[in-house]
Amino acid sequence: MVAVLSVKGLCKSFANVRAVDDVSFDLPAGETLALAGPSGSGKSTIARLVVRLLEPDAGQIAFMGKDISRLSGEPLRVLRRQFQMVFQDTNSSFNPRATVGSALLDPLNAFAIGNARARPEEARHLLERVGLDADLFDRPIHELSGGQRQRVGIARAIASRPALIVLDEALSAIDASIRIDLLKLLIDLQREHTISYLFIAHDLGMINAIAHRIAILDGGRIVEQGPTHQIIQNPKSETGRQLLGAAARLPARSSS
Amino acid sequence: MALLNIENLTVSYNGKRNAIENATLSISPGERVGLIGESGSGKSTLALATARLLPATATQSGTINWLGGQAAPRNGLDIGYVFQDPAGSLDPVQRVGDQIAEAVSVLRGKTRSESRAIALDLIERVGFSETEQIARRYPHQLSGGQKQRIAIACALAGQPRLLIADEATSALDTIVQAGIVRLLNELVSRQGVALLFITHDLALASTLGDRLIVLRGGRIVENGTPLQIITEPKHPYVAELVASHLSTEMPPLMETYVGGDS
Repeated sequence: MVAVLSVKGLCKSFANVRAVDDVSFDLPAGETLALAGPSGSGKSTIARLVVRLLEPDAGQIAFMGKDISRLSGEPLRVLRRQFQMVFQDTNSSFNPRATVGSALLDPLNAFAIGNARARPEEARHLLERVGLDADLFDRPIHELSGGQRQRVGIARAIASRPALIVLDEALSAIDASIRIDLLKLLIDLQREHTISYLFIAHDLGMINAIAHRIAILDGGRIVEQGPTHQIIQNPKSETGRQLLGAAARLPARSSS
Repeated sequence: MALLNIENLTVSYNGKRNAIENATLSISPGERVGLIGESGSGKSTLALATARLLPATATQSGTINWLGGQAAPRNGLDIGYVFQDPAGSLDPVQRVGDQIAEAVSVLRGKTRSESRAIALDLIERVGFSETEQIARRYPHQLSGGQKQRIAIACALAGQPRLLIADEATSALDTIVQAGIVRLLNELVSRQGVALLFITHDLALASTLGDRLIVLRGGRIVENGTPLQIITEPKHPYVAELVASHLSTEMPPLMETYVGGDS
């Protein structure tokens, strides 16, 4: 089976720093691969390379079997509807003056999805799909709570019916009590539309909830990767062990 | 005797709904208290009122007493404050050693050379070995975790007996966060500093706190040991927090969640 995303020997340096160093992984259709690692380990750089917001120095990024690492211009723009990104900071990832409706109409118009007249209806449908009231359509995005804004972020990402969504610490700034609902939403959407997620986070508790596989990064390199339960139960790398040791736990209920 | 006694504290901004409503709590010497609640629950307002750092637009009533006396705690000398964003709490154009020395000299009236020596000692106490070298750096030459250690050193400059850490680890990654939590624990156990640790992370607060206080809509809804609160939550919000906690020891949501209720 052809992976939705297949990355081989990916490298990227900034000035003298090797931010991403010989990174390779495969992400099959409908699965979630988590990239975990400390700050500065290269997670976000990989995310940006994959959606081609950055140009790789070396290596291949194959999307549905097609090398997109050197693609540019119109062919890249056309393909872009297939891979979308959700960011951490919901304050800065929207036009501050945008309304909820316009944030959803933008991708529908840009990628010419459906009939132009049907698009407002489609945008309302997207809102409801991510668990928001369609009445929010005309509200400025900045009036929404952080959790609601991130639901709009997810609605915007699925608007173009992508095969891949890169979530860069998308739930890290969301209150814990709301985070679990957003994880459920992502799982539902993945099951319905066979979307693959490249899920970037540093919290192994959250990663354990949603990811099929984990790649642990340190200093721009993947130091280990494997199925989630294997990495969580028996991390082989020092970084993996540190991340697991640092994962927050609630005190154990008396286990007599 | 309690270090800090807060009684019937009510705070509002610009005459709007009370940000803190009728809060009563005390902190003992060397005690670690975790203060948790979601965004907007009043955590920071409570901490800022304690350190008398509220903006002029705030009105408050109730009493805040230090060591059983009538006097309020002195900022810097009785209470040290560590903020969430270490980059924002340090002066970008001053060497970090000078910033700590300046705090020592202002708060404790020490001479230049005494302040300098104390600053180096503080840099060592927050976990650096190359103290001279670190003292010469500017904030931008340090990582986020290193900057937060320096901010903690600044907060300790006046030898306070209570350290308030307001989301001090929230912007750091989990490994760095664990290091700062270890440091705060050390300061409590070795130097008897009491700690008010503010966070929205229930697991983090229960790892660190001898006692947890939960705020909801400006009111204290729980006050007890982490185990008490987590095993027998009195307030539905706390029960929800416990239920929504994601741990690596739980079966993955992906496997347990049937679907459809998002």
